[in-house]
Amino acid sequence: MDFVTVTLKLLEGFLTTCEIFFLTLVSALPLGLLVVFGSMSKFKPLKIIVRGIVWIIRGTPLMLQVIIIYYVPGLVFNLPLLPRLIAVFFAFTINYACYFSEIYRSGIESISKGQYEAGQVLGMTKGQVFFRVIFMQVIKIIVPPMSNEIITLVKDTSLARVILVAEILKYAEEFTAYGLIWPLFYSGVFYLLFVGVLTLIFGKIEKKLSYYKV
Amino acid sequence: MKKLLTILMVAVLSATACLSLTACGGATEIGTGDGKLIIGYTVYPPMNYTDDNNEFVGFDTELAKAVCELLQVECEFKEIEWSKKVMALDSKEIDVVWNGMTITDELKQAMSITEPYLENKQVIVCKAADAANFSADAAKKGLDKEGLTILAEAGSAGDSTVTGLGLTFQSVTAQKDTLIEIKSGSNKVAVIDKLMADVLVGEGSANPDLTYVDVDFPVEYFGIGFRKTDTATMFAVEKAIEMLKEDNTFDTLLSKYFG
Amino acid sequence: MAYLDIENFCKKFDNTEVLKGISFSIEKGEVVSIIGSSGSGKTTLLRCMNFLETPDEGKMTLDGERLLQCPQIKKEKESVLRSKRLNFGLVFQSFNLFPQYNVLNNVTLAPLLLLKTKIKELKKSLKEKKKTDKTVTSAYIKKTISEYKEEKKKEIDNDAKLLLEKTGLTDKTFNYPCQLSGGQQQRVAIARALALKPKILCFDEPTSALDPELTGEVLKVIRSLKNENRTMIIVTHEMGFAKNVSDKVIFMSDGVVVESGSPKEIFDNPKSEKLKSFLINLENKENI
Repeated sequence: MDFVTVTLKLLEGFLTTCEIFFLTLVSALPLGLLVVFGSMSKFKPLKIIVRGIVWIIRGTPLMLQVIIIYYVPGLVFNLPLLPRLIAVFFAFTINYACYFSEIYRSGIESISKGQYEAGQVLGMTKGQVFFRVIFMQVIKIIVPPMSNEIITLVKDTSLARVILVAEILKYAEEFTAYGLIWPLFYSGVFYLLFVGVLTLIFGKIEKKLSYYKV
Repeated sequence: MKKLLTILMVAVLSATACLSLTACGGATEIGTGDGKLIIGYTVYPPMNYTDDNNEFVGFDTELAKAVCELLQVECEFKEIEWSKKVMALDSKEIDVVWNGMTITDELKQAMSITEPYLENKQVIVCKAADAANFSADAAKKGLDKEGLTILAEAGSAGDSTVTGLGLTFQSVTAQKDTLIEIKSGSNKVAVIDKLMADVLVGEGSANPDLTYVDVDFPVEYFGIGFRKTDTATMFAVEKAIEMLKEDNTFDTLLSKYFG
Repeated sequence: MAYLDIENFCKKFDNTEVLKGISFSIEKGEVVSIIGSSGSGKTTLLRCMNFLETPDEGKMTLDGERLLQCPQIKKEKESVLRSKRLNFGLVFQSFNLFPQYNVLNNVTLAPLLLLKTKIKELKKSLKEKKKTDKTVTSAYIKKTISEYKEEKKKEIDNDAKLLLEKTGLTDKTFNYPCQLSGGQQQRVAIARALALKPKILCFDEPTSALDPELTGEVLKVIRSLKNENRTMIIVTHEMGFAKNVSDKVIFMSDGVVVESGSPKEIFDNPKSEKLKSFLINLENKENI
């Protein structure tokens, strides 16, 4: 098999990889914010439940979560299964929302009480204090850990192949099974390039936010 | 001059003997020559598996041990990922792939493979309730159905069978991975080795809700794989198996594992 | 009746009584300094007045309006507390500027947000009016609101620039807090508090976090505010400043007002033992 055929095949898989990545990112970022409001809530039962969920999700392998979300409805309840890509999307979104929420929490907790009080005495509502005063500072604090987590997400997309989603690494492994080894290493180039672009973007964002210090 | 010729002839003769036979100073040219033969396997009952007494057994396991004993090398088993067997060989992580490997043309290009030592067949695995849809003689028709995707391990004999028939195909990394797909209803049918299906599905196995249908797929043959360049070891192993067939060890193993 | 009247403020944290019945009153235009050692409850008193803490007991009246009455205050809605808070401005010890906004935006942020709420209300009332009055059209509403918005925005911007001029920060208008010295930051904080036109401006140890050479510029600004007849309450450790600038000094110890009176009475003629020893301790410290 020649280079072009392999590249085209891998590109096809890489498209799925990108799809998983972007869908997860777009939905896990806001969902994580909801989760952090729950886990920092003053309403105790909600806080306990949400923190329990975060513990379970962070305490088990993502691969297992993907398998559970996809297979368990059929295995245990005899229900029709979700489409593979949807199952991956659910598992990844929930998993990453929990991880993001913990990063958000560390960011929010590192903002001094004085910032909230300054907003309060200036007659701002709680929402205004959060979104106009706190949020931008949190963003600046969490950009480095978030970029780390998002880069991990790029590589975690390869876990989708445990339920036979045809992402790039699954194609590469298939080549290997037929005796062609180099596509497996070649697939790494796609990840490298993708992460390279992300690193540049995060660098830009950090630079853009460097005009102030928290 | 005569003397020299004699010495030369003796040297050539002993070298040939070394190549063709076994007991030659610790069999230096077996595997990488370190007196060890590293055998790559995946857990694949009844060929290689750990039994209830926590002992590593199986047809291929015992056969390989017997062969190594004849060759006077240490026998070491190493678990590999099946899809990366060629890489494992080439990187010298292992010296042999000995794991109920079906001989295919593709594999022949990637490694040196012995003459067949065992026969195998592909069968259709499905839910017991579905079995009627895949009766033996109408099998192809059953598999041909619109929207039916057939699972098989990438690069396995099942893979070549399914793709050879031009059917819709979904690859998995290991044959055993097809079971959760079928049990959960994600896919209806898979094509795997009969030897494996005998152990894993049907009444009395861990999956009584699954069954297999023996259809008229062509018979395939198991071979043992070596590095493409390592024909010396391959010939030595072939020879050893022949000897084991002569002294009945091989037949004893056959009846032990396949009744 | 006095301009600000505080009666019997009590506050407990867990089991520690921080305020044990504080009462005092202030006339309009007066500058009052609150002094006392740390832990005497000065800051808590200020925070209670600004509705950052809720007292367990007590009443507060400002300009004839009952702002705080225990225990009803605990049930008040957040929005009511918010509007009550606006009667006071508070300058913190640690400035608490918003780091992501430049100096001008730090000052205008809160007024602009208030304007937003006001515009919402205006829109609502105009829409109500539209139901009965046919001359009120959608286009008219749009025009009125945009005109109002433009006008108010300009006003807020001009006010802010005036305040920055007054605090001597005109050349720092577009700088960010991290580019300013502590003294400059505190002056921005004062401008920010003034932008909402509070009836009373409170300072919580405004110079404690500053290097000694920077306290002067902040005190100078506060002094200039006195000349404008602003009512101010200053919690401070700067005794010289308290003596010079205040009309009235309150000495607190262990959650009670021990003595209050003119600077002269307090500093030159202390009556209670506690105040005497407090002043002597301070003097000793200065002499070391």
